[in-house]
Amino acid sequence: MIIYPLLLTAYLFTIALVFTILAIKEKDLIKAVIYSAVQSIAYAIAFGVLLAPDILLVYLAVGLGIYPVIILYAISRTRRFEKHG
Amino acid sequence: MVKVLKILAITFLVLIILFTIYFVIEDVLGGSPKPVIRELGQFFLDNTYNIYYRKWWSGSPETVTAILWDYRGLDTIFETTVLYIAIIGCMVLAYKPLANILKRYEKEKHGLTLIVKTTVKIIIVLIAIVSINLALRGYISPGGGFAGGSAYAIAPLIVIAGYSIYYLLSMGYSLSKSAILRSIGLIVLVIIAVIPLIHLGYILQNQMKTYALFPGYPVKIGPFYIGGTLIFMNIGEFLIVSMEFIMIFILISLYTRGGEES
Amino acid sequence: MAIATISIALYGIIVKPNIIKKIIALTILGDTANVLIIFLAYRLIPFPKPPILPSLKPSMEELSKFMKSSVDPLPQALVITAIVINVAVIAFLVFLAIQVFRQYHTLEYNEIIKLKRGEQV
Repeated sequence: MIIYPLLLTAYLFTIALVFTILAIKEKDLIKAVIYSAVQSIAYAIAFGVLLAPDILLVYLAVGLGIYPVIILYAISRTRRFEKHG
Repeated sequence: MVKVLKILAITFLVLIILFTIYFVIEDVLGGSPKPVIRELGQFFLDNTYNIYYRKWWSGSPETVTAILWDYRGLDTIFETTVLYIAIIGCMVLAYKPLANILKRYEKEKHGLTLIVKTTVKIIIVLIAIVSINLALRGYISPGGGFAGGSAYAIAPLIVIAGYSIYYLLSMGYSLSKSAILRSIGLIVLVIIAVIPLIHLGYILQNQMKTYALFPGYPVKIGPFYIGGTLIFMNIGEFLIVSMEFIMIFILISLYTRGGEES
Repeated sequence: MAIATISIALYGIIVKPNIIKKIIALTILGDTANVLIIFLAYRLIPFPKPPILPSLKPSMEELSKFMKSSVDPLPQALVITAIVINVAVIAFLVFLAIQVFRQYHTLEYNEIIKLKRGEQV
């Protein structure tokens, strides 16, 4: 009984790790933003499992609604693809 | 040159991984989760709504909001200052006088399809109701000023995406009105923080303490529970945070590439 | 596991030359650090509870049960402040990135260094 929340957070962290690796290796910047948003969803569920309701509400509004939008504005005013690297 | 940088980065990262594993497992900084939490956290849990021993109590059953606004109120005031300075920096880079932009509105009536527009109209009302509810009941249920302000700022963002930015500006939002509302929120915070100085208390005092003789804000007015200073602080913080984010969105959507006529 | 995410985000900041990719990796780093703090403040008993008292007139027994079975509230208050400060910093960095593009017409870090020295790309 003690171990069920810890197993759940380990599972969520593994999902987040997979999506960060995909986000950093990607050359198309819009897909990288979407992978980072999916990883934000995994972290929001982790905040709920660790019993912190106040932080969950702030993090949903900020990490899902403000970060990808501002970065998408920056991409639309500059280039979309990354050159080398 | 790039190869040397990569090798340096990888060795640096391996060292960081080893240090953090050592710190987390060997219990140096308080380590992994335990059955007994730290003494400082236990002190806050014992004393925030202890009716039977009123020496250190604050007036609300919500521990996190009481820590943010009553026990560590100066941290929150400095964080509001940091947001303020960041907005000033953004305005230096991207400010445009808005008078000659509104003249072009009749020429460009674009936006997305009709389905998106009706959905946007329904969602805006729901977002406004939920965010004001989160902000005003910050002393009883989780939420508070920050969650309410951030959720309210999503509504003009959806209007910018569904309609265009010119529609939002002709609806009545503008940079100077947002700045005035944010200053009103800041004035509310400062007045409520400074009043205890009259009775020889200290700034941001909530209830009576043995060394500071201010009688304390009321916890109950009539049949309604008010959490001392907490409800007014939450209203002020809601105004500040929502207007800050709206100003960021207006500034960045009018910031075009260089060289085009704007 | 969170430590691996922090290290991969740091690798992304240092090695990748595009400025917007660096900003994305910076947001990932900040969020992972906040989750790690909340994970270290959990209480390992069979049925923990969130740090909110569920009634306005608690009896003595409810109060002592709440004191013994609730999660640590102090890191949660500090993490809320940290999230809002992160938003302010990243918003300002995005404005600076657009300004850099307006002046140099490129966003790769190697080419900006060459343009500043005076050579051609």
